[in-house]
Amino acid sequence: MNLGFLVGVFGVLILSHAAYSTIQYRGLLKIMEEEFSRPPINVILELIIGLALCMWAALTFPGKFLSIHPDSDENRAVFLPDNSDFMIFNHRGRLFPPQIDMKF
Amino acid sequence: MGMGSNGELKYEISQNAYIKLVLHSLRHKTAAVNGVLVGRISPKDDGVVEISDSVPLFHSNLALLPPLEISLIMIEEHYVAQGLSIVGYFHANERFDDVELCGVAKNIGDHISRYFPQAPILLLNNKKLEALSKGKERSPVMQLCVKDASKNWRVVGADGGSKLLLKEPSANVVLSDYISSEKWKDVTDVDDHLDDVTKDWLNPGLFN
Repeated sequence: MNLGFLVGVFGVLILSHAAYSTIQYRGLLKIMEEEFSRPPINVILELIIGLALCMWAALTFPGKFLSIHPDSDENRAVFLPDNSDFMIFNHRGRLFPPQIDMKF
Repeated sequence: MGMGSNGELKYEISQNAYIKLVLHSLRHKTAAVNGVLVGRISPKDDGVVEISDSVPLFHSNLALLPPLEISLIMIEEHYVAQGLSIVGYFHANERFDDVELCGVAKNIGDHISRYFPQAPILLLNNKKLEALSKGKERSPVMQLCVKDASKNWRVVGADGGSKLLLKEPSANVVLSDYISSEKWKDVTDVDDHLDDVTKDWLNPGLFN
């Protein structure tokens, strides 16, 4: 859990560093009056590593995946809510209000 | 008696059929619900339709045809062994002050009356239900609607002389008792049955 978070932070830092390096590199190119074609190879490597770390962190840190199969046991939705379309309040329920145990 | 005598027909509803329908409409208080009436023409007097049982149908998507077809076939097959058939339709509107028959109710009523020409539609009357909740109502808390000669559904017996009779006059007292003991929680309709087949739409244990 915490490992995933730290890896995510590290990944974001690597990405920021890659961005910073690219800006520096473009500044350098402007001084040397050369055309910018692509960032240097170490920045590209940094980007790929940062992407991989961030992706791994994003998949592990928020928690476990839940099944979306309709027949899986843990999240089987059997009932639709009572009011599946418009919610109205002018209905029979007001005749026999439910007993609610609540402390105010 | 032919079709012309529709106006003189009386409908006698048994306590269990009546209570089951009202409890069903109270179980799903926030939605429109429907049900069918099961019975026969009285063998003693063919001016009386005996409604001996009822089946609560749906509490959502009332206008959907496939579940309705399935349920009507299931009900027909189950009751034919007892010599009973579907003789009418019950409907409860979603809104409290809505006293009109909606299009869906009329269409289902039309369909049932094709097989049983004397079929009525019973519409839950919220005003009477309100009186019942204060312990003042003696007559059934439903509005009787029948098809007139021009094939339109028409409310009858609004002014006291109702053609809809309770077989057991004590039904409203029993009903109030069931409501106050929250018996409506136990009602299972065909909708519940289609969600979970272990639930029995016949509600065998409801009145035990």
